[in-house]
Amino acid sequence: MSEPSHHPTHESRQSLWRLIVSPTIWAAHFLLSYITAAIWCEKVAGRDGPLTGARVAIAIYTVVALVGIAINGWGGWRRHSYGAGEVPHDADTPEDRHRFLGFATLLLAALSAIAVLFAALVVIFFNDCR
Amino acid sequence: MIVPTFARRPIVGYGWIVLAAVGTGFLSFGLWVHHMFTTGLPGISLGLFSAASEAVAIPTGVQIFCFIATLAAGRYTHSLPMLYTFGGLAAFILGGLTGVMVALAPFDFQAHDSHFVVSHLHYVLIGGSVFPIIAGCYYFFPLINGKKLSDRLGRIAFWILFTGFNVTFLPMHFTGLRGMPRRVFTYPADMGFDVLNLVSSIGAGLLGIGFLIIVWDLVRPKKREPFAPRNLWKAGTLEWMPQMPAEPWGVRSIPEIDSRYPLWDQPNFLRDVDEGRFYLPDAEEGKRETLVTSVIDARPVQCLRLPGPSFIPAVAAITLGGFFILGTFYFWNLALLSTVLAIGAIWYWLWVGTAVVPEKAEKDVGLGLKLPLYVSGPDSVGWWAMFITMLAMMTAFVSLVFAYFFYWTIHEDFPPASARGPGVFWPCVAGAFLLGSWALTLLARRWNIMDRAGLFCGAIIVAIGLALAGGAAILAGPFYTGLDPKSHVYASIVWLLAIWCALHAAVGALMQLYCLARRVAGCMTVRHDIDITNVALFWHFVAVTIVITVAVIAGFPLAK
Repeated sequence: MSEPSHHPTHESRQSLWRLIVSPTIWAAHFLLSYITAAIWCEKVAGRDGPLTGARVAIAIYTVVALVGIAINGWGGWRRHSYGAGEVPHDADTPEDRHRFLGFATLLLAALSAIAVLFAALVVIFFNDCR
Repeated sequence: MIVPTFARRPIVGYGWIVLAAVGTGFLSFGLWVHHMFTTGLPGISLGLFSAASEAVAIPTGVQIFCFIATLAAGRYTHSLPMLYTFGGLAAFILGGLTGVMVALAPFDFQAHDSHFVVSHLHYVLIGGSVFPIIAGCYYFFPLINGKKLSDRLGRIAFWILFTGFNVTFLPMHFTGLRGMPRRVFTYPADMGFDVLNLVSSIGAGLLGIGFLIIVWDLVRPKKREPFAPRNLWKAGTLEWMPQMPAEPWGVRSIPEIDSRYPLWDQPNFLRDVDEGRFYLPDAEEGKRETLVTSVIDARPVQCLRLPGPSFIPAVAAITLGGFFILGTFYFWNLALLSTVLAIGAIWYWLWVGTAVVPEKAEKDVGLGLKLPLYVSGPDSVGWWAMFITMLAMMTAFVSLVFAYFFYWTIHEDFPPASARGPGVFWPCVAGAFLLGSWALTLLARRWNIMDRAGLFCGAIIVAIGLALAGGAAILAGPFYTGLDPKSHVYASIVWLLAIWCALHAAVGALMQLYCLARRVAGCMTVRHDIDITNVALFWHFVAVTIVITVAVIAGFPLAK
């Protein structure tokens, strides 16, 4: 509160939105993978057709999603390790709130990355639309 | 809150609890199809939903480990709410483990519609929800009337419930694996189900007795019992601030919080609250007031006046519910009457209770702080209420659009060759009218700030006309092209999207009319413009809805 507004821990420079960026990327990846597979299997390859094209598309989505999550998670890591503070970051200071939001962002990024990989595993195990 | 209270220490891994809450919330959007693994969906779709169902075990497990770690690291104090919490955790873990099994589609193919699934879902729901809710009843009940529920009855009920629950549902794992289907009450005698089902029936009886004891404990007269002491569980969290019994004004002053457990960590906390040493210690004008704070640092930013106690919200809830309930039974006239009453109640409630122009711009809230009494736009709570409501509405709308394209993927012929509707003309007319209404609403908001009352009123009146005409035009599309909603899923989904738009246009017109009336009556002024600001926000969402709807119902058949 006492810092100038351009200070990195000032409230005007914090955002709760960054917390949910990674889970949102997971959701977008999930939805896109589903839609791609559904349209591929129903309109392109047929119900017994091979997955080839959909596989490539989902592989690209996965790489893009993981890069996005990594960037968001890296930002979380940097805020988490701001200054000299250790978890649980529960002091009543703008610095600790800054670190706490960073830490929670980092954890959610890790979970989202795992969930994205889980979804991508599906096209490794499946060869065709059956 | 129950776990840290009885571990007498802060929760271990608060950040991980945030991960669990947010992570579970998100992943849940991608796992609901695990109830439909045997409906014939393609394997790859099942795989995606199975992946999310398995992934959700991670945040759930993290949360349970945080609870266990908190109890292990703290000074555990035994209590009745904690007993129910343990019962809930034990049951939920078992349900979670069978959940990991049935989340795998091939296993679910075998277990589907059998008693195994019945057993799994009851372990999850009773462990994850029913036991914790009872724990919450025993824990929080003193906040209702200052009286504690009976420890003795609660303890007896717990052991009957916990025994009854396991005796009922544990054997169902085995009846299910032996092939007993769910929702079937009769079967040949030699299937090997008899003894197990008898055991389950006895357990169900016990479960019923346990619930009756709890209901009796909740409703029995407690007039002659003493009041519980203040903060009877020695909790650290803020909800235990009120006195027992609570004073009619709630708490004397609104404290500044420096810790997640202020009752443990902040010295003289309750005394300072009671002596009015914090914000809003008095109500000089006799109004109900609270503080609005910033999101992250919780700096006070506004003194918000709230409507006083009233039955009108209950009337609005009952009459609005009446629309849906009466409509379910095809009592259309009564449903319509109920809707009109609901609109009247909501209108009256908003008019007298919200966005009231204060007698002064700022108010001294104590501790040397002066805060505004009236805030509009994205800084006001009403704007966010509208935003979040409309986000939920958009989720429902996107699901409808998704349904349209889902039918397109599974049908060879969609839209069917025989369908002639809804055409292009009427949807485009509707789109033009409703976007016009949206633009005029934005102009009206601007002209209100510029104090151009005449232009404001003119724009709003035309906007109302365009909204109603646009709502009618979107319905005219399927109507004049003769789409019969009972003939084909295509006609039905097009009608649904059109009705959705028309309803939003009608509600939008009502809101515009409300703004006009408020301005004419002097309840909305140049500076006090919450009403039109929030209505403009609503119209942003209507604009998005109409653009997507027209693109889908008129554009997609053309593009195909």
